[in-house]
Amino acid sequence: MNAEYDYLFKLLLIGDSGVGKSCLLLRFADDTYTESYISTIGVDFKIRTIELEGKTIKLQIWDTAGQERFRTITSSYYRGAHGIIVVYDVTDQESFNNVKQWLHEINRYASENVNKLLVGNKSDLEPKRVVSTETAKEFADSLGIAFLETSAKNSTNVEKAFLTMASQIKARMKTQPVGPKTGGTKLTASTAVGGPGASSGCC
Amino acid sequence: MSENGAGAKSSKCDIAQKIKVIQALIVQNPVPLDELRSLALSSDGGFISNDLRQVIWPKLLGFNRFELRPPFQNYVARNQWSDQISRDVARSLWHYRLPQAKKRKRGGRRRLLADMVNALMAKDSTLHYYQGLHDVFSVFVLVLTEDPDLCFAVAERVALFFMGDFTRRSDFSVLIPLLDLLIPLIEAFDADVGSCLRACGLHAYVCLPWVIAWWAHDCHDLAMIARLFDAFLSAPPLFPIYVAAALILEGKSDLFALESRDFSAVHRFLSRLPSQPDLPVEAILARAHGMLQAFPPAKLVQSQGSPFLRELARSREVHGLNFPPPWYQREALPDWILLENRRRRDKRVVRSKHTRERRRQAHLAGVSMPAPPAKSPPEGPRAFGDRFWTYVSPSASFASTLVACAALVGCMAVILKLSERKPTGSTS
Repeated sequence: MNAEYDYLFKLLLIGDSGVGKSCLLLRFADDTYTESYISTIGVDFKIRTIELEGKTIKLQIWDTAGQERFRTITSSYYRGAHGIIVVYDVTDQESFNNVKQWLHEINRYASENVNKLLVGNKSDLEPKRVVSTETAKEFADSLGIAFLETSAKNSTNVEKAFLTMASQIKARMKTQPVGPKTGGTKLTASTAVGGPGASSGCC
Repeated sequence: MSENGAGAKSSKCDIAQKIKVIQALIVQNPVPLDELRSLALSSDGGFISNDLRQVIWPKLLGFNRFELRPPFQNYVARNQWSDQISRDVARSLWHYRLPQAKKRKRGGRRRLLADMVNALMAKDSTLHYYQGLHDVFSVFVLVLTEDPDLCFAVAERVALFFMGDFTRRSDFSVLIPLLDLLIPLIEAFDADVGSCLRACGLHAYVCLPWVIAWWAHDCHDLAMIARLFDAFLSAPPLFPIYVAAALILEGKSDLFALESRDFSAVHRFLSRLPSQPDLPVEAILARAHGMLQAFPPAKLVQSQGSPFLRELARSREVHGLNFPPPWYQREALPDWILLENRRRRDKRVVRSKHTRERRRQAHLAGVSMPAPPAKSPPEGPRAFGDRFWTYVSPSASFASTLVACAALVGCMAVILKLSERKPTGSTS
């Protein structure tokens, strides 16, 4: 029996290459920021345990490669995720335009009731901003998704983004509890829709 | 303590001995490439130094490093991958533990790296860039520092041949079934580790960056990566999968010592294996080589591959199985013959003693001097000072020095005569 935590939530970070997914995760999990971060290849994860409404929640956060050709691989990690954070860069219009595609990926591969959060990163680069807060907010509202702007560099809203995601999942779990005793949904490539073997066959 | 010292001393001797062995091999005519390949796969340290790699890598890849034309910079152009490349290059070359002097050159190295990837992608628009290819190229930039064209030629051959299953396809549809071979391969040599990996539901995706970036993304020790590259360039393209299996098998005791052996714990453990500073790279390579010989790629694919992979292999669509390639050689000409051939072909004039000395001095001072034209040099606008010193310099001919001296004496005589006449004029 594992008494270290009450809940284990598995989160997934997706979005275009270079929007700052790894930096967001580094800020949240290790409270550090570095300009010298290397690109993510494949998938990796970090863990942070938080306290929320008197409960200990272990967050296992998976970081993914942003390049399109890795999607076959990263999509096999969607199925076991309780929450998915779609990240774009407020200084890169293309990365915002592609959010629709990422949401489509979620609908295709993730569990039906997975929680979603839209995050506009690099909000510290105000002079370079091309995606306005209003535009993104409107877009998120139209889809009924929570939205936040963050800066991994000066840590604005980073904590809030992950806590928002965690509390949303927790609220959902009240009706469908997932705890360490039951193990929750296993986040494994093998449980994925269109697993590796199948996807390789159809590509 | 003394034992350690003795050990270090003997290992230094070993290295010096190995360098001598390699140097003796590369001046032989012909150079026995098979011997060099087996040395890379079985001997401690591989090709040891970057100077030797500069000579050996092109030979293993079947090209002449003195005949690289046109310059690769001619191909550098914007292409469909340029944005992705610049994003990746901007985040590259950080993670190697390099001396401070090398770190200072990072900006220039990054420009070269971006140019190399862009040149390759612009040169052949059917190729597909993937994140990780830039990591492979960055090793060539840091190891083959002398000649950017050599660096590009090596990188190009690696991208087209060794990484052909990833660069010649828009997706990873061949890589994924190839990665699926990893656990069966491990099982064939250690059923306990195999069943541990299966029990936790692990997929070989954890090894994906190892295989597509040849450990350049995950390992932080450049010397270790260069050592691994010696082996990869000497082996069939699927060898990295064997090295991945060997790496996991080498970590068996630590794997079984994990508190929890669930999917995430095992994934985390394995993903951090390559960044260990004391990675037993020689033991891993030796084990991988043994596995390669006992269970060769074609047999592995045939017996353990998915039906999809077997079908691809039958239709020869798995680049990694098309080995050896047409450029593969068992012997090569040594550099001294290649240079001799080039000199003969270019019909180079024999240079005078002075010219040779001047070029030597210039070379020592770090000035690059172009080859002089065979006949009279073209006339260009030169300052009077230049011409004058050319006439009177010791390297000029005796006759031209005489003419210059006579002119000087003549001038002085005229000046003296004038100065003698002036005072008489003023008194009258």
